[in-house]
Parts: sequence; structure tokens; C-alpha cells
Amino acid sequence: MNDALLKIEDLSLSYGGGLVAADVTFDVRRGETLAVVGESGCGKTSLLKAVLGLDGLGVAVESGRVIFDGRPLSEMPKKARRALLGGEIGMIFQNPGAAFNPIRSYKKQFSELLKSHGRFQGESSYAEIRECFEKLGLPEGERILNSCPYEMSGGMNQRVAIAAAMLLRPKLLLMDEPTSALDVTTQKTVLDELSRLKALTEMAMILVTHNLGAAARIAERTAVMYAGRLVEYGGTQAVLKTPCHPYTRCLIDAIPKLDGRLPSGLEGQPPLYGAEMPGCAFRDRCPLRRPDCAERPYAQEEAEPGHFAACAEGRI
Amino acid sequence: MNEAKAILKVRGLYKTFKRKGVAAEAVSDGTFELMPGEILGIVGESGSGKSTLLRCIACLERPTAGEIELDGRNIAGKRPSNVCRTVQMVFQDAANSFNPRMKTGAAIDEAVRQLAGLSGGSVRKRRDELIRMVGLDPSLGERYPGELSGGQCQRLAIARTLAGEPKVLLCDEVTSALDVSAQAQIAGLLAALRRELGLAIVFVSHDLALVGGVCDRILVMRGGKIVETGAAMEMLTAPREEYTKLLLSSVLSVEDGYEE
Amino acid sequence: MMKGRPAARAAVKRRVWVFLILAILLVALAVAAPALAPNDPNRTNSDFMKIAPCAQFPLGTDKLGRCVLSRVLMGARTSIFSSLCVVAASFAFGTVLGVLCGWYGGALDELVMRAVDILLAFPQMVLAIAVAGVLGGSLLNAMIAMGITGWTLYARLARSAVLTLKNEPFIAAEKLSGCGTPRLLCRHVLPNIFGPLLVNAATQIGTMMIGIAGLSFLGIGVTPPQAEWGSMINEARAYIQLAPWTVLAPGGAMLITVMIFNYLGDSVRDLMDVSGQSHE
Repeated sequence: MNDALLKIEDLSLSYGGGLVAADVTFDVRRGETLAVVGESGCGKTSLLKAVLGLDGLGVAVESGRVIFDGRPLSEMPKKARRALLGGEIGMIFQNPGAAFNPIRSYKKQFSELLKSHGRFQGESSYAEIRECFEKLGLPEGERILNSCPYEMSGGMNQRVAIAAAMLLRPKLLLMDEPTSALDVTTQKTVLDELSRLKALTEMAMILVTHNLGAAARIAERTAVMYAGRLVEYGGTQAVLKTPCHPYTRCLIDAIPKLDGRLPSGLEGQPPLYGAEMPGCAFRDRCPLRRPDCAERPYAQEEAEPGHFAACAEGRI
Repeated sequence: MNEAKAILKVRGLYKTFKRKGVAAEAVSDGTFELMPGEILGIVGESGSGKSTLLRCIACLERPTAGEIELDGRNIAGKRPSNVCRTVQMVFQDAANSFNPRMKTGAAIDEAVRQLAGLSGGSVRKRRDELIRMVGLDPSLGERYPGELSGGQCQRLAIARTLAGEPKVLLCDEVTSALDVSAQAQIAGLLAALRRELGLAIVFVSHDLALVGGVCDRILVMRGGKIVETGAAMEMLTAPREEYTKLLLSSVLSVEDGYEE
Repeated sequence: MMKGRPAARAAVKRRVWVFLILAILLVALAVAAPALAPNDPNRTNSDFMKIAPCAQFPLGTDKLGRCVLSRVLMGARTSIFSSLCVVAASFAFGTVLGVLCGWYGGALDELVMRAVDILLAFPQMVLAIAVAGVLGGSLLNAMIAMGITGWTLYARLARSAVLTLKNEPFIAAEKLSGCGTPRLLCRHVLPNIFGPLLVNAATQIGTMMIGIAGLSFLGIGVTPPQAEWGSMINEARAYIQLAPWTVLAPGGAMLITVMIFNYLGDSVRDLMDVSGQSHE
């Protein structure tokens, strides 16, 4: 039985004075990729911050638990939690320039990174780094090591950031929109390389994105969030081909297909702090809304084995 | 096609930048036409020169060589204030398209005063009208750009450009920084504006699928050159150039299965 | 779209208010000095020389029998107003030049920046001493001497802020909205570069104050018998062991004043840092 590396149980988070996530429950198994999709402001980035568990990010856990590798994060002392980062939990940011100092050479920054985790072994470490670069489709590893981030393109910097995250062999890799700042052709290459890496290591990944196509490409399971709540969750194929929740269906319809037609836009905005609203937060924008949607309590129903949704009206 | 009717004609446009003594050609031999009420898509990745091309048309850059004819006038190398009543531009970074210290409504008022020549009470009336035209509630004009979402800012930016009733709207990656539903909203808005106002639109993006859905015709740019042009459906179903085929295959579709 | 974290912002805002109020109190004290001074600051009295603090002279008297408290209060006027003047003039001049250099570039930019480089090649106080020495000792000349290099700070800051701002899309959008250059510069550029400039101005008040006091201490600033903290310290140096209050009073006053303005500058900078963070 492939047990869960990361378990999120009834997690409710607040940021800036209001609830940004409520009653979120899902898990990530070893070696599995989970995509968390939704519009901006749905709480998916706050979820990542909660898993990172750093105090300075402004996200506060109101209730629920985050359990990593059997250990609840809230019960761990600060030092232990910080030791997790990098070593067991890696993170890749949206902005390829965010992870590194733009004017110092990669060689220096990589050696510092390894030293701070006590894993620097001189020349053999550099050899390992070059090997990692090769796996990620970055030739001329030596030249890259001697360059500074500002000299390289966004695509290359993002791949180097992924290499850095990989180097510490984390059990779980968190990615916040890793490809949205990249060109289309680079996006596809990076995603393909990530899936290849997945096959080689037993790394679990959480991919936070609003790009359903990216989710379709590398994630086994997909969770759809709206206004802080998980509205659908299950196998990627099931969620994207036979969605249950009207929001998932609307999201899929909003994606431009290669058929020359205008995608159908979803009017309006998600409500701010929608997690605090009684009933379904999507009702104002939902094409299938019913009068009782305003009082309907939030509950995940299992539409099919392993495929959960908060509302099954979207099924055809 | 009656050539005289084109609202925008670009011929042999070149733009070279000098960086530390090295000359780089951002745009080479750019030539195309835009008909009134047409939506023309320009697809390309970073470094393809599409933004520079647009900036030359909006007179934000001075072309090194070539001609730009807008509504019968030669505008290459002129200043933005000469052309802003006929051609307008919307940018990728919506939030930073507004002065962070001014309310969005005040910025639109400025455009209304300067481009439409209105004053007094009619300024506010026109502002509310423009904001409603882009599908938003006029009360959003009282907010600062930092208090609005990317999609809302972008719509307000579009509202501002409409103040002078331009004939051509240049859209530079206006959806690239937005999430998928906001992208679809903006695409729908642009199509509606074309229908209702007869606006000619140049829609630049790296997303071939979106461009295919919004535009009538598509240009593909690479390394500063236009490598292929054609009707939208033709480009999506039967592209001729290798690069276009590459762009097409890079589109991440939900239809694709998860590959083992 | 949350800007900063509300709790942190509130704490920083409180600090800014505290120091702003303290700074305003200082200025008010300086304005009201003539009314508050218990005795005539320039009145010498041979009977009361070097007297320790007492009821009639709350901070004692100096070697000429003048009331130290009154002189410190009048000195506040001189020190605070002269440094505020120098900072205001440097700020205005430097900012305008810097904005024009950043906006237009070209020959003007080259010329001004080379002038800045030359001025900054000399240590500020050495240059000030040379200038004050040449012009002669007086408060005005001391202010000019400090101001000669003071404006360079703002010119550089304003120039680099404008260089960055020029590329923001809203500048292009405003050009397309029909804005002419003057309106662009006043309405859209200046308000967006003020932040760091103001922070530096607040901190520079302290630097200018110490500089002018230093020049007066050396005898090439304020002319006696005008009360000024630096010259007071200079005059009292010789008998510091006999009448320490004559040095401690002006020294302490300067310390407190400079600290308040520096903390004000620091907290305004912190406020801008906190509100500058906007995380998704």
C-alpha cells in the first residue's frame, strides 16, 4: 500500500484577516504528482505556504493539520521544521529569478546551498550538479556553473532552479506555477523533464497552476479549488474528462481549444474570503445554480471511487 | 482585397537596438496590413520582436527604417501624442499600466479629458460609460490598481484606451499574466468590442490556441521576422512552416492524456 | 492583492507617528525658543560664571555667565532651521536635476553626473571646510559649504529612480493618453519617486546638523556670540572638567535631535518596505 507522504486534514487557513482556505482535505502519495488548479486567489498558493510551514509568510493555520511523513508539522519545533525545507521538502517559485541572487555565480550559490545542508563534498558535488543539469536538458554544465543568473534566459534559470531543488533529493517538491513565466516551447520541455525526473526518483510533487493542460500532462491526480474550498478531487483523467462540479466544467470550457472558436469566459470574480460564505461560494457565477445552493453545506461526495466533488450538478 | 481600405499598413519595418555597441535587430522587414474591423493575431515567443513591432506602431519607439501608414497618414517616427486618437495600446502588465498612486477612475478621466476633449461633469459620465462598456461596475473606478485583480485592471486599461474612440487597438500579451478564466473574459471582451465598435485589433500572444480562437488572421514571428501568415483556421489545422508546427505542438491540451 | 501584513504595517505606522510627533515637537520648541528661554541667552554676567544648574539657571551658566538652557534653546533654532534649509534646498535642486538627467539622458546627464563624481571625490567635510574657509566664517557660508555636496545624493537617487520608472507600462500608457512631458513628470514621475528621497532627506537633516555644528566647532561656522550647539561645545571645551554642563547640555541636545530625525527616516523607510511587499 502506497501510504501518504503528505496528508492535509480539514485545513483552514487565514491570511490578511480572513479565511483563504477552509476544510481542505487531500493527500499526496510517494512518487505521485498532484495538481492543484484554480483561479488566482483561490487559496492554492496559501496551501503551499502552509505546507512550507514558515511563519514569516503571513499564512496562519486556523484549524486542521498538515502531516508530513507521519509527523504533524504544527507539533514540530521550529528548528526541525526549517531542517525539513530543502532537505525533504523542496520549492520552486513562479519567478525563475526568485530563487537565486542574480549577480552571483551559480557555482558559489550551489556550494552554499549544499554546505548549509551539510552535503557539500567538493569536486564530487560539482560533478553531481553537472549530471543533474544533463538530466534537465542543460548542456555545458560547467559554463552554467560559472555564469550568473542575470546572464541567462528565464527558461534556463527555471531549469537551474529545478536542478537546485532536486540536488537535495527532497521527498516532496512543491511548485508554484513553475512554467507560467516561460515561453510555450520551454514550458513543454520543462514539464516533460519533470515527468522524466519523476520516473527516475520517487519524488512526490505538488504542482500549483491555473493551466489545466499542464496538470493533464504530468499529474496523476488533480484537485480543483474555488474560493478556498476543494470543489473537486480525483484522478486527472476523471476530473478533466468527466467533471462533476459545475466550476470544473466552466474552467475546462474557458480553455481555448485548437478549434478556432472563442473560449467561453466565466464572468465575474471569485469572492474574496469566499471560504467564510455559507452555502456554495460559486453560486453567483454558476450556470446551474439552484435556490438551495445558498444554504447547502460544504461536503465532499464520492461520485466514483477516488473521485470526489462538492457538487455533482456538472455531470452530463 | 481593396488595398486602399486597410486601416494600418506596415512596410519594410526595421528596428535595431544598440546594446553596449552591439547592434541587435529586433524587427526585420516587417510587412503586413490590417483591415478595419479585423482581428489580426501575432504569435511568437520572447525575442521574436512582436512587442517592438507594436511599440513602433504606437510611436513609443522610433523605427530604424520602414513605413507605417495609419488611416492614410504616415506615422513612422512620430510622437505618441500625434497618433493616440487613432491607435491605442494595452500592455501585458495590467496593474502597472496605471499610476500606482492614482485611482484607476482618475487615470481614465485624464484620458477622457485629453483624448476626447471633454470637461466638467461630462468627464465623469463618459468614464462610467467606458467602464460599463468593458463589463465592469463604475464603482471600481474608485479603487487603486493595487486593489484590483489582474483581469479587472486589464479591463479598465482597455476602457481607458477607448476614451478617444480609436480605430486600432494594439494588444501586447494582454492575457499572458492572467489566469485561464480571466483570459477567456478578455478575449470575449475584445471580440465584443470589434462587433460593437468596429475596432481593428492586433492581438499579440504566445498562446497559439487563444490566438486561433480570437483572431481572423495570424502572423507568426520569430527572431524579428514574420515567418508565416494565413487565416486562423488554416494555421491551426495545416501550418506550413516548421516553427509554426513547433508552436502548435507545444500547446498543452486537456485532451492529451497523462503520458507515462 | 493583500499589501503587506496588517499587523506589521500597523506597528511600523505607529513608530512613524511617534517620531514624526517628536520631530514636530522639536521644531515647535525651536520656534517657541524666545518665549521659553528663562533668561537672555546673550546676556553675560560676571557674578554668575560657570555656575552649576540651579533654580535661576536650570542648566547652569557658561564661562561668560550666560544661561546655558537659554543658549541651548536658541541654538536649537539655529541648528534645526539651518539644517532644514540646507536639506530643503539640496532636495529641490538635486531632485529636479536628477529627474531631468534621468528623463532626457544625453549631454545633460553626462555633464551633471561627472560634476557629481568630481564633488563626491572629496570627503564631504574636507570640502566643506575648504569652502567655508574661503568664503569666511558665517552661518550662511557654513550652510553653503554643506549644501555644495548635499544635493548630489538626491540627484543620483532621483536619476536612477527615473531610469527605472521610465520603463514602466503606465508611463507609456499615459503618453498614449495624451500627456505632455511636463504633466508626465509632475503628475506621474515625481510622486512615484518621492519615497526614497524623503527617507534620505530625513536622515540627511541629522548629517547636516552635525556638519554645521562641526564647522562652527572649528570656528568657521557661526560667529560668536550667536548661540549654536557646535560653537557652544567649542567654547566650553577648555573647562569641561570645571563645568561639564556647558558641554553636556548642547552635546546632549544635538544627540537627541539627530537621533529623532534619524529614527524618523528609518521608520519611514521601514514603512515603505512593508507596504512595498505585496504577495499573492
